[in-house]
Amino acid sequence: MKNIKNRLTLKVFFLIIITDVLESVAELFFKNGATATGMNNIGLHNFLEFTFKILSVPSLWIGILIYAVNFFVWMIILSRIELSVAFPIGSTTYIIVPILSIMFLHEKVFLLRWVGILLIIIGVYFISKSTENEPHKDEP
Amino acid sequence: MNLKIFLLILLHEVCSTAEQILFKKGADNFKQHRFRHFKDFFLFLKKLLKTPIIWFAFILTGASWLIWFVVLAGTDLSIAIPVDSLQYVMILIASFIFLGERMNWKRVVGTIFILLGVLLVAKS
Repeated sequence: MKNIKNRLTLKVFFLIIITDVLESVAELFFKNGATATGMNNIGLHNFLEFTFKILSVPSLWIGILIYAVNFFVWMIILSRIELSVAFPIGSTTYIIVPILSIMFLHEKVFLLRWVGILLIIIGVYFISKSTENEPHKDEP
Repeated sequence: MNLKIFLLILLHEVCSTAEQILFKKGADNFKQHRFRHFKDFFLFLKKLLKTPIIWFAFILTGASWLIWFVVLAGTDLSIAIPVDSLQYVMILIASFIFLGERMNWKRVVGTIFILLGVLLVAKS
C-alpha cells in the first residue's frame, strides 16, 4: 500500500512538468527584476539598498505570484512522491525549453545539447524505475 | 566567477535544500488527502498554511531568494545554473539522511545522468 502510493504516476509527472514550465517563466521575471535595479556590485554595504530597490520592481512581484501558484502545485506533488524523485525530474525544464524553441522558433540545436537532452531523458527513466516496488520488509 | 559568487551560490543551495526538506516534511501530513472536488484544494491550502514547518520553510525560501538575486545581479545565468546543479546531489543525500527515502542504484544513476545532462544543456 505504502509503496504503491509512492510510485511516479503519469498524473504526478505532468504536474511536475507544469511546475517546471512555470518556474522557468518566473526565473526570467526574476532575472529581469535583478537587472532592473541597475546594481551589479552587491556586498554587505549596499545589501539593504538592493533589497528595497528590488522590492519596487514589478517583474519581481509577477515572479513571486507565479511562485505562489507553483508552491501550491509542488506541495501536492510532494504529498504524493518522494523528494529525491520529484526534484531531479524537475529538470525536464531543460528539455522543454529547447524542444519548444525548435518547434516554434525553428532554432538550431547543437549536438552537445541533444546529448544533454538524451542524458536527462535516460535519467528521468531511471528515477521513475527507482520508485517501483521492491520486496520491502514492512510489506505484509 | 569569483570566490564570493561561488560561496553565495553554495549558500543558496544549502538554504534551498533545507527548504525542500521542510516542505516535504509538511507535505507528508497530506498523504491521505484526496482531491476530488474543488473545495478539496481550498481545504488543502488552508491546512497547509496552518502547518508551522511550512512557515519555517518560507523563511528559508526568502533567504535563498535574496542570495540568488545577489548572485544573478553579479553574474550570468549561464554561469550560475551549472554551479547550482550541484543541488541534485545535495537533495539526493539530504532526502536519504533526513527523510529516510530510498536510495537505490537506479536513483543514484538517474540523478547522475540528469546532472550531466543539465550541465551539457546549460553549457551549449
